[in-house]
Amino acid sequence: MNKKLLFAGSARMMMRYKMRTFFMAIGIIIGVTSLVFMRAMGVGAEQAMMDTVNKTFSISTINLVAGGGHMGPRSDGPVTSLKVADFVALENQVDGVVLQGAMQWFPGQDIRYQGNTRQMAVYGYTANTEAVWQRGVMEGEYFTDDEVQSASRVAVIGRRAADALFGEEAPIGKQIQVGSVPLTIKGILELQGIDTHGADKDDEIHVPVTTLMRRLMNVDHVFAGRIVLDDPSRVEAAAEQINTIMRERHSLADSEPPDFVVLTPALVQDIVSNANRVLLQYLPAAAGVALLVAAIVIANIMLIAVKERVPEIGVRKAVGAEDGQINFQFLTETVVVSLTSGLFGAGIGIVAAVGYGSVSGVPMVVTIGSLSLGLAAAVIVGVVAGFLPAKQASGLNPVNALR
Amino acid sequence: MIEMKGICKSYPRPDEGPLQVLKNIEINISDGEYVAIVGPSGSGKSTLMNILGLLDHTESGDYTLGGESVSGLSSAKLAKLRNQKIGFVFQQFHLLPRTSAIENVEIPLVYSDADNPGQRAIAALEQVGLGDRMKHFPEELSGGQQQRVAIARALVTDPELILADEPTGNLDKASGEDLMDLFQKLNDDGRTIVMITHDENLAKRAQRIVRIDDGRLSELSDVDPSESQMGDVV
Ligand SMILES: Nc1ncnc2c1ncn2[C@@H]1O[C@H](COP(=O)(O)OP(=O)(O)OP(=O)(O)O)[C@@H](O)[C@H]1O
Ligand SMILES: [Mg+2]
Repeated sequence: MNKKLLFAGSARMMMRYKMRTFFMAIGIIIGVTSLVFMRAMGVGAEQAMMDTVNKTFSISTINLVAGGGHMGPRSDGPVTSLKVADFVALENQVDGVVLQGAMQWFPGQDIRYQGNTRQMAVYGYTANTEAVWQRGVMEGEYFTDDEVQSASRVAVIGRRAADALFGEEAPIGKQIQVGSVPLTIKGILELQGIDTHGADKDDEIHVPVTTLMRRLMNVDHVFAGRIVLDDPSRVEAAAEQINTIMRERHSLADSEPPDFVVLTPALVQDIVSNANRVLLQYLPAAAGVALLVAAIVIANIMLIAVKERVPEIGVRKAVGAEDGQINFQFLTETVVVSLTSGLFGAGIGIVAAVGYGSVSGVPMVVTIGSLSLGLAAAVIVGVVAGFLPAKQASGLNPVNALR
Repeated sequence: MIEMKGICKSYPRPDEGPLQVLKNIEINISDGEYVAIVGPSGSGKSTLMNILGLLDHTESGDYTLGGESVSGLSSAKLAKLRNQKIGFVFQQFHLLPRTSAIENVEIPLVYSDADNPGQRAIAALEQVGLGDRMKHFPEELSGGQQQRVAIARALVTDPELILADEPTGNLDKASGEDLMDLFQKLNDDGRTIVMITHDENLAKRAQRIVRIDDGRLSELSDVDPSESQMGDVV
C-alpha cells in the first residue's frame, strides 16, 4: 500500500469537504482549546501558590495554630488556649529551634487618619518578623523588641493601605487611630500581593503582638505562631516534640482532641495541591465532556459520509483495496481531521492562555505535558469516533456497493 | 487467460426457492481476445462479470485466471489479483466527486507498491487522450471524457484483463463510438477485453460474441450476428 498517496487523499478529502470537516473539527478545537487553557490556569495557579508557600513558609519552619483540626474562625468562638508563653517554652524545649514568633490578628478594623477611614486586618507580630515570617519593611523601620515588651503604640502599614489612607502624604511618623488607640506609623511593609487565601497582604497593618492583645483586643491569647529550626531534616521530629509538649502544657488527656494544629511544610504543600485539584483535574475533565460530544458528532458525520461514499468504497475494493485497507483509510481520515483540529486547538489554547495571562495578570503556565495531553485526546477522539464508520465501510460488499 | 467450468450462482429468495442466476457456465477466453457478452436484462451478465472480476463468489465450479485457480483464495489475495490483473469499467463511471482526473486515476496505485504513481497516472490519461484534462474535476468533464478517465483508472496498474459492464450505456452514440475505438486500440495493444453491451452494432466490433439467456451461456461467433438471434438482444 502507498501510505503517502493515502494520507494525501485523506488531507484532500478534508479540504474538499469543508463544511463536513468544519463540523467534525469544531468540537475538538473547543475541547482541546479549553483543555490547554484550563490546564495552563491550573498549573499557573499551582506554581504561584507553591511559590508563595515556599517564600513565606520555608522548609525548616513549623506553624502552630490555635484550634482543633481546622483553621480560621470557628462557630463556637475562638480557641483561647494558645499563649505567647507556649512559644517561649517550645523555643527552650524543642531541639534545634533558632527562632520563634507568636502572632495574633484582628480582622475588619476601621483605621482612621484625619477624615479617611479604611477597613483592614490588624496583625500582631513580634519584632523578628522579617526572620520568622520573611517579611520586612520597604521604608522606615519595623518595631523593636523593646516596643513589643512595652506594648508600644506603633504600627507598620502595607503599601496599598498607606496609599488609601495618606494619599500623597508621607505616612511615616503620622498617627492613625484604631478605635480609641492612636498608633504611630514606623514603616511601610514590603510588597507581598495576594496570599493563598485571597487576602491582599499589602492592605493590612502590623502592630506589636502585645499591643494588639492588651490595647486593641483585650485578650491574653494568640492565634498562631511559628517555630524556625536550624535544619529542615529536624522538622518531623520537632513536630512530634511540639505535640507532646503542647498536650502537656494544655493538660490534655489522651482521649481529648488537640486544641492546636501543627503545620509542617509537607502538610501545607499537601493542602495547597489538594486545593488545586479542582483546577488541575475537574476543570480539564469538563473539557473531556466537550471531546466526548465531539467524538459522537464525528462518528455520526462519518457514518453519513460512509453512506454517501458507498460507490467509492465499491470502486476502491474493485481496484484492489483489502478490507483492512479500507478500514485503515477511513480511520486515517478521522484521525487526520481530529489531529489537525487538535493542533489548531492547542495553538488557540496557547494564544488564549498567554493573552489572558498578560491581560489579567492571572498566572498561566502552558506545559509540554498539557499540549501532549490535548493532542493525545484529539487522536483518541479520532480513533474512537472513526472506529464504527471504518468498520462499516470495510464490511461493505463491493458488488452491492457498485450496483 | 480465463477458464471457467461448471460455474453456478444463485440468490436466496424469501418465499420461493433460490433464484438460479448462472447455470453451469463454461467459457474459455484466451490471451488478447476481445469478447462481447450480450443478453436480455436480468439474464445474469453483470453477475458473470462480477465473478470474472473476483468481486463475487460462486457456489460451485472452477475458475482459473491467468493459470491460477482462484477458488479458495483469501480475500486479501483476491484484492491483490484485482489490483494487478484486472481493470474495471462501469456503466456509471463511478469517479470520485470533487477529485481531479489524475487523483481519480491514482486510486488503484494507493493499493499497489508501484513507484512513481503520478507519472503512471499521467501516462494512463495520455493513453486515453486526456493529457490536457488532468486537473479537471468529473463535474467539469463530458460523459465521454469521464468514462475515459475511468478507463485510464482501469489501465493505470497495467492489467492484462479489462472488464467493462455496458461502458457506453450512459453515453450518446458519437461518444460511444469514440470509446469503442479506444477499446479497439487497447485490444490491439494485446489486452484481453470482456465487454457487456446491449448494442448489437457495438457487439459486432468484438472478435467473439457470447450470449447469456436465463443464466445459460452460448456462443454466437459462428453465426452471423446481423441475422435472427441478435434481434431480441436489444
Ligand atoms: N444481490 C442480489 N440479490 C438477489 N438477486 C440478485 C442480486 N443481484 C442480482 N440479482 C438478480 O440476478 C439476476 C441477474 O442480475 P444481473 O445484474 O446479473 O443481470 P444483467 O444481465 O446484468 O441485467 P442488466 O442487463 O439489466 O444489467 C436478476 O434477476 C437480478 O434481479
Ligand atoms: Mg447488468
